[in-house]
Amino acid sequence: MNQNRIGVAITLLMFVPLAVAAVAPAGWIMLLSLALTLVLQLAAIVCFYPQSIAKDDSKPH
Amino acid sequence: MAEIHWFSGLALGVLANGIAEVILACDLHQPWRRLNILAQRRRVVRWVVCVLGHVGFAMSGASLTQLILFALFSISAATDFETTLLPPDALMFGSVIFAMAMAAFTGGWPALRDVAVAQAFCFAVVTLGVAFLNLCDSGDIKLAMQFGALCGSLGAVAAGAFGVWLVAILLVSMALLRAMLAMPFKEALQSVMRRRPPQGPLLWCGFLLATLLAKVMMR
Repeated sequence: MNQNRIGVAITLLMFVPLAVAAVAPAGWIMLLSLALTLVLQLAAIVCFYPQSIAKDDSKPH
Repeated sequence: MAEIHWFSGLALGVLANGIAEVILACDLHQPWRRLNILAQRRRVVRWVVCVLGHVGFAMSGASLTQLILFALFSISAATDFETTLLPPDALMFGSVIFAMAMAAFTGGWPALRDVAVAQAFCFAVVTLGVAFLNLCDSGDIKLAMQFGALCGSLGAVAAGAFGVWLVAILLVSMALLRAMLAMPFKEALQSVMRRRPPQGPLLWCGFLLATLLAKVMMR
């Protein structure tokens, strides 16, 4: 449960670099924000994975 | 050129169905011989709709990369349709990575940005939907990422979401009409709203509908 909360917090935080990456012109700012978005997304997946994402494979929707 | 495209759509449709068949038989323990007559009919319908969808998508002028991504998404939609379970993670996360790699290879950084932003946006929205509103199940997070990567940009995600909304409205209306034949309106509405259709086929149909509508409107 705690890990899920951290995952939600990271996902909310992810919106900041995501918005920058979506609107910034091609350049260093876009690359950095894109990299930060993907790193935060990976972190959120790692937080969610054991309790939610993987579990759903053996559970009907 | 159009004939080649038509044929590649057909070939990829058959291939996607074949891979889904292997996953259903080996990983999800649903081989053809174990199915009852209703499930066998369902599987035949899935084959026909999936192959026709691929041919339609190919004829809408999609590139080969888009066709491959659509085929990968079809595998997830097919297993979700039949068992409400998703294929192995390697296929789901792998198709997202493949989409980003192909975008970087063919269109450089701007194309990579479009795909990465689209899949990350879908991931974030569905994650928050699962966490706060309990709108769908957590496995749908992976499906949403795959959908975002398939759409390829935020604009296409919006168009795809519109297509999904149209398909959902159609399905809910049909289910409501059927339920109203057996019970009063209020109970029928409650029973329809309690249902949760699998998200994979819904997203698949919505994406295809949006693509074909865009093609028709651009003519």
